[in-house]
Amino acid sequence: MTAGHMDEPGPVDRTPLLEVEGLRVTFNAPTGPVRAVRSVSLQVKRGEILGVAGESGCGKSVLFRALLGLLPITASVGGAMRFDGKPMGTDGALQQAAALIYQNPGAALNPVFTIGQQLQFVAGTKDHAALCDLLTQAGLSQPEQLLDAYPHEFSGGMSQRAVIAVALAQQPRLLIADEPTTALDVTTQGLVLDLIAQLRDRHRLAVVLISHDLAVIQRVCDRVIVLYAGQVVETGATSTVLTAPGHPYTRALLESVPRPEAVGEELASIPGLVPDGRQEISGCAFAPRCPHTHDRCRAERPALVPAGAGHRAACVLLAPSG
Amino acid sequence: MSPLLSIQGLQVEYRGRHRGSQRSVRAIEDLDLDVFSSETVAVVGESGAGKSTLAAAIVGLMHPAAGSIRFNGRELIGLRGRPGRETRRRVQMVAQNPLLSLSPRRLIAAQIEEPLRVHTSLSRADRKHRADEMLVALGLSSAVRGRYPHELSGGQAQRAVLARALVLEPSMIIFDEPTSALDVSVQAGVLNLLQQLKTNRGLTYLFITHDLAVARHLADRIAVMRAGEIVEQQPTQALFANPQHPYTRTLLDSSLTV
Repeated sequence: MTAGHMDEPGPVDRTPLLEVEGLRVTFNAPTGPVRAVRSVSLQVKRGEILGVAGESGCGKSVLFRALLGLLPITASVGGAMRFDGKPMGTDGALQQAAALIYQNPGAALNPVFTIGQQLQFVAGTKDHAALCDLLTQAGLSQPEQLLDAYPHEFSGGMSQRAVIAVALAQQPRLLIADEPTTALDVTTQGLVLDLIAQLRDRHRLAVVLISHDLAVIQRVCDRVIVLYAGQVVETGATSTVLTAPGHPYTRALLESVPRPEAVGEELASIPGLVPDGRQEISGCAFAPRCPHTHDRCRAERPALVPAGAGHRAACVLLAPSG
Repeated sequence: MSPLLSIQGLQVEYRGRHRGSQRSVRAIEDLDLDVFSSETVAVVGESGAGKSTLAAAIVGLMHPAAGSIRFNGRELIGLRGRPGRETRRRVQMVAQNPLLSLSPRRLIAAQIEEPLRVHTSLSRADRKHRADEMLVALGLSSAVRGRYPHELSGGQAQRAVLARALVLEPSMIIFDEPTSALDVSVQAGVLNLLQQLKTNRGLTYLFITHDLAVARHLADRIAVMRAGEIVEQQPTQALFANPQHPYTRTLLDSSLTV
């Protein structure tokens, strides 16, 4: 691990830090194969926050567990990954360079060790000043006292900051945050997201933020990919995708959020269910639930096509027919 | 008009022991709240504010240290036996996680019929008929009857819980974060259904949530809770337009929107 995080911007930025090409994850269940991730390609650059949006069961958590080699042996993983330009396997090698922040900070911390001990294990140093610095960077004040505290003495927001401090102790180059604010109260959600953005700036981290909540993505992500049934259905700059979505699924997701200007009106819910991983999908995975479905949707599998500058969506309505 | 549910001076304590000495934590501190018939009142606040304790006290799962909870003019605290059952069946509750509210080992049909077995003298055939009607009314196919909870999606499971609450034809339902465990697209369907049921059946809702957007969408009136107290209550529009308490303002300002 290199200690120097604060280095030159410029050419580094053009090559992505993490590149994933056609990643597939299949669980071999007794009842047959379950395709959790059907095909996902993505790139994250240094200094960038990539949002990964999608509902339960779309494969967003499995995707990153696969990259980090954290899946059980019943999973088979296919596709290619490059980190810092070099090919890398999904055998857990990425764990050296990446830190993971989980949804539930209470479960991520060990209840029988103090915060200081847990930082020590990861940082590999007992130096008080260094450990205090990690806590300060995670936005915790009075770090000296907190080193001797146990996780149960922390509030939810403090715990998540402690988890972030432990993540920083690894000196990661890539930070993967899986629903980091879902278990937190609204008054702390924004603060924790701001902290993640701040750390990205300070350490020029590449950050992947997985969330089902489009408001969370909107707040800090530079770019977003929207997953549906283990596939990328849309990708682009967050501001574009969330204001002018190209895929009917993204549009439907945005419309199902209760809005102040439509109080009392019926909300647009998406009929039907996400196809489960046991189903074979021919054509567009969203076709059975889409309001614009026609014959082409069932016949051809839509590829990601340009929907604007740096904006792509996988919908046949955007592709010229023929 | 007298309120359907009237809570006055409610105090709820959790008693515990710490290193040998008695300690208690007061979760609800002198709380007053009225809910009128056919109204939806949302209670919003952060974790630890006492929202769920309030719900538990209303449905009789917690015994208050002091105060009064009147339903239709009748005191609920300490009400036991037949009059207790008669009154309590009119107030039902729907909790956050449908998979924790349903027994994993029993078929959905049996769980929806159970309240009828406890509270009515209906025959087996009549109970089955009522449960079937309820499933259809909530947009569940009758195939769901013969399934176990783990075979349902989150939205279906929450509809089954709602069916169980409605089968006794209550006049009031207490919801404790009923859509927090659901995806937004599924949440939208459940919220629409709640609106519909309320209109068709003249129900009264007390809706506990941390989600201000959901509260704003459903509620006629909002009560903001913090540290066991209601710090502000106002009609929904007025609360968003003109929050009075600094805490309400903090809450409104920090909520993220798309």
